[in-house]
Amino acid sequence: MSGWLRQTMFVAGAAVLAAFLLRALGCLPGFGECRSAYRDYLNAHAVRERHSQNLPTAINFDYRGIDTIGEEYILFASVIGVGVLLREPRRMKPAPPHDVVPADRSLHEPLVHLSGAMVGTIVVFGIYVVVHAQLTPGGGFQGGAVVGTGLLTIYLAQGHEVFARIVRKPVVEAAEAVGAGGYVAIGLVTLVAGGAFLENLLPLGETGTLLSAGTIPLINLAVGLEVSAGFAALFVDFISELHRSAEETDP
Amino acid sequence: MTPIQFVLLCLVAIGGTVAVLTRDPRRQVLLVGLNGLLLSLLFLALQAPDVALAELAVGSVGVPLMILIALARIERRPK
Repeated sequence: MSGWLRQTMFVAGAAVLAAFLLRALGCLPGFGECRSAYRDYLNAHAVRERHSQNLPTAINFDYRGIDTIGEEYILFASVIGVGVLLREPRRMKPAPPHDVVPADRSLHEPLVHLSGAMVGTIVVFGIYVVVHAQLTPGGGFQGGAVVGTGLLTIYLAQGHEVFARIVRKPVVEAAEAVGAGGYVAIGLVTLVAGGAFLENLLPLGETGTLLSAGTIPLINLAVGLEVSAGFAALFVDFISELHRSAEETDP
Repeated sequence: MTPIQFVLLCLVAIGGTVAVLTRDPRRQVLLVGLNGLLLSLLFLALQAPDVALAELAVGSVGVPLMILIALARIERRPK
């Protein structure tokens, strides 16, 4: 295909696309003016019905609980995909410890100490976000992402060797599987107990307390485990790939 | 729209454009991380603290670090 023809086709296509986009933009409701019956209903009734002060959590893990399973398994599938792409070739010996980040510790001393001091704080904060899913903003996904990032800070502070010793691949993989399976298992238990799949059958407790909102905290624990372990598995795969290739090139 | 939301919206637009127009991957990574931070502030200003938290962890730490590791891996590849 000649350059001229390609350019003409691009310009024509882009013009049509721009026209549709502008038309759609004109039809959008004004900023902050979106109204929906579903939203009004949930704002009026969700706290009374589910005893969860955090409405996004009540929607994600109860009203639309099945959709969230799909969301969780997107992450699960991505992590498995990375694991398959970066899997260790069978004959290759595991790379001996080789710290890339703090090659010269004295240069990075402040970063090393700051990161080391922050690991615990970040992980504890992540766990706090997970267990307060029905009370404060956030939940299993957000808390899990924070915990995973906190574990990554170990790598920044101490390098590959310590990271690999603390964040072990088999443990992380098992935790991820338990978290992902746990969500579905909770749904199956509600089926066996005579309800609909993922129906909130547990006692709802007192609104505003840690043990309230029925199955919502349990599901969030499972999701938090899955997400934090999923993130950790991603980081382990990427970091061990980096250090394996370091071994290959400069033996 | 409050003034804070407006300013943050503009900053995100500028940050994203600058990140796209930067050609050096290492600088780009830092700009992407900075843009993630701006985005999470914007989400906070739009009263979505839960989304802000996820964006903060994923967008300004997780993604930049994974790109950095990938860059380091590519540069080590034997010619």
